[in-house]
Amino acid sequence: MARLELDSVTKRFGEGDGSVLAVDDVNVDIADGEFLVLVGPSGCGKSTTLRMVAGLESITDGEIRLDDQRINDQAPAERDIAMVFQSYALYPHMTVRENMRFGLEESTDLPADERNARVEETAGMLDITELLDRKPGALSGGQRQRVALGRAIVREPKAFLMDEPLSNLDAKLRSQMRTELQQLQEDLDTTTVYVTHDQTEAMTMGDRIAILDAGELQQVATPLEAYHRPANRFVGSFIGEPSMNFVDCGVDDGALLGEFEVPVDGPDESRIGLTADDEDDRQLETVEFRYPLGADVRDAVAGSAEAALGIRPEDVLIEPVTADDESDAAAAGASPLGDAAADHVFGGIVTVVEPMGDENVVHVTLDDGPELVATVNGLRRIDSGTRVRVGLPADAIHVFDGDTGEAVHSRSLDDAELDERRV
Amino acid sequence: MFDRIRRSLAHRRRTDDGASDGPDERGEDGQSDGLRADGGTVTESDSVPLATRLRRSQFLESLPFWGPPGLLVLLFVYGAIGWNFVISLTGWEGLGQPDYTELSAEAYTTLLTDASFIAAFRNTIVLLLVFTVLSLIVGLVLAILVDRKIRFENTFRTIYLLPMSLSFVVTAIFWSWMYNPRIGLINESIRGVVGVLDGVVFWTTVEAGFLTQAWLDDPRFKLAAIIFALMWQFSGYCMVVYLAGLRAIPTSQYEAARIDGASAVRLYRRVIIPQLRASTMSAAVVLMVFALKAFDFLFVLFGVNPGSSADILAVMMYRVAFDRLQWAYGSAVAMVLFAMALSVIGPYLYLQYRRGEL
Repeated sequence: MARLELDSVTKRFGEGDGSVLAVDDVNVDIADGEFLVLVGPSGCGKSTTLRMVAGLESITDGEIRLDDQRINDQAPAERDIAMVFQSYALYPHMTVRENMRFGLEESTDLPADERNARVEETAGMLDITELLDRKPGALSGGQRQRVALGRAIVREPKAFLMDEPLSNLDAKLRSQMRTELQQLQEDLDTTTVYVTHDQTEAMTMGDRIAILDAGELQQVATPLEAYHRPANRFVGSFIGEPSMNFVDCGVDDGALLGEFEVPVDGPDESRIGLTADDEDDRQLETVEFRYPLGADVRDAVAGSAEAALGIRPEDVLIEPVTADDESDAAAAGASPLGDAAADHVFGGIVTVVEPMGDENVVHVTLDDGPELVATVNGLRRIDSGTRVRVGLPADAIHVFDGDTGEAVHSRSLDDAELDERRV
Repeated sequence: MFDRIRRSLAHRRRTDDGASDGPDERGEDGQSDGLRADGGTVTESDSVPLATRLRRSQFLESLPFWGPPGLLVLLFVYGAIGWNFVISLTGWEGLGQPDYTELSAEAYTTLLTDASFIAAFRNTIVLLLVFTVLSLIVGLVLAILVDRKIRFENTFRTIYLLPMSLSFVVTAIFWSWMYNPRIGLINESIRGVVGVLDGVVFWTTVEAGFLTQAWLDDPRFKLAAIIFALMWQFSGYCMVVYLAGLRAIPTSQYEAARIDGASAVRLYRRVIIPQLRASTMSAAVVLMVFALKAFDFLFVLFGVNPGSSADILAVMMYRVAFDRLQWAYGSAVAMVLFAMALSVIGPYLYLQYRRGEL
């Protein structure tokens, strides 16, 4: 039980000109009993951050405090933390029981019977009692994972550190362990820092998630907040699957205006199978993508010359164009486009459809240039090559500054619960 | 070929119907079972003609590959061992031909009462054990030091391994210079150190002569000096074997143990060294077998007569057979050596076989 604070933590590998800045000025305050997920693409410094907390890497600058006590210079053993490794790091020559007991033997003065009792109790909790006398080599991946977890839990540390603990499991087992781990953490109520590159794990498991990119902290927020109100373009694109759509535009008189080069004969399936040379030979023309903004967004983007329009795939509305209303593509009519205003509806053509079962991932190329990804109900039948009308509702759009990538406008949400801490 | 696979699959399906105990977990095992059953074609043997069965037999198919070398080994290794054993029973001596009509175990009973054999046997055992244990310990320490991501790691590795690449004749002569009582480096160094100490702390009670010894001539130090020289030559090999073992242990094991609170010494004692058992085993077997046949090193230093304090069975065998021409007696000594080598390698091979690594 402890509060863990990372205060301007910086890690620099090497010295002088050749040094690499792995973690740059990271500040996170993790409350007692909180489950914080550190997420980011590989090489973003999340594992390094965790290893600094564990004491396996030195801290170049800044301070890490556990219960208001500076632990920068303490050896890993003195920090009273337990770590679960991606490879589990079980000692292959010891039985499961000895593996779990090892930490107690090395770091505590508990009498032998107390140690054994704690091992038994933890094993019971994780349902691995019958494995206690086996060696790690005789266990399946999922069982090893449990033992690695047990080895951390049995020490009853102040904080758990988990370094991608589920990434070596197959997909089904992973989702099962995800739930179980979450439940376990809730029961134990131990402060936990969990590192993953998998945004699904981040979204589902954490009380809060901290998104890192290139060693810099991008946002610390509840999962829903990070999803609906990404602080910048990186968070928007990293959280969510499929990724958020971005259209790079200029700001022009209350609207977002993008210029795109498209082939004269239109974006269509005839392009499939053409070589790069053929592509070069095609005649290009410049078209404009214009997205009028509402009054509130207009004010928000007033300061930027360039901006990126962001919209989640599930917010992109799609309606097939039938032969008789082909002439009037911009007319907002039938239900699928919902309340998207007429000037927020664009003509386009479906290039690829990926059926996922519960939903179809539809790739659309707009006549005005941008290529978008939309998800629609899995039961709706849409074929590639179909002409569609695409609605981009004004209340679902995000706008990011073109230079800094900072969010200047996030989608509007009705429920204000987002701001409250999720328990 | 495809036909065979199809048949083996059909066969496997039949066996699986009968008893399927966890086919998911034992996917590979199940498959190899199926293939093996194909080799025998037991179920179909009644209806298939003999010629076809022979053609399909894996034993016959593989014969051209292992047959000729197997035959050569059988003749020149096991045949020679057998012949040697027969010679040891004949009582053959001097120039002339052995007489195979009268066989007796007399040579072996003589061995038991021969003082020089008992001394050689004892020395061999001492050499075997002390040399092996010391080399392993030194090799392990070197490996752990070199494995600590030090600078010039490759250079150190080469330096430590270099003695291993030298001929024993070269190293034997080299060490005979080192051990030279008058001008050898060892005694010179001792004299130098004692001289400096005398000058600094007026430590006159210790004479240099007390520490400088005739290492290779004094029966008290002879065997120890040999063991030390051999250890110098072989610990590099142990280091390489251990280094390979250490490299196979993932870094996360060290880190996990550190987080678990183990100190450096306990980390190595409880986590790392126990995992080097396989390396220890294979290095120990190589060292022990070498210790049994450490003939050239002693022969270069002492010729056929190292004296009872340094005599080992390999040298005695050569002396008896080729110097004194007691062929049968020499063969008997050779058989004892052979038995000792078997007793070293046998358990190792059996253990490897049991662990499924053969």
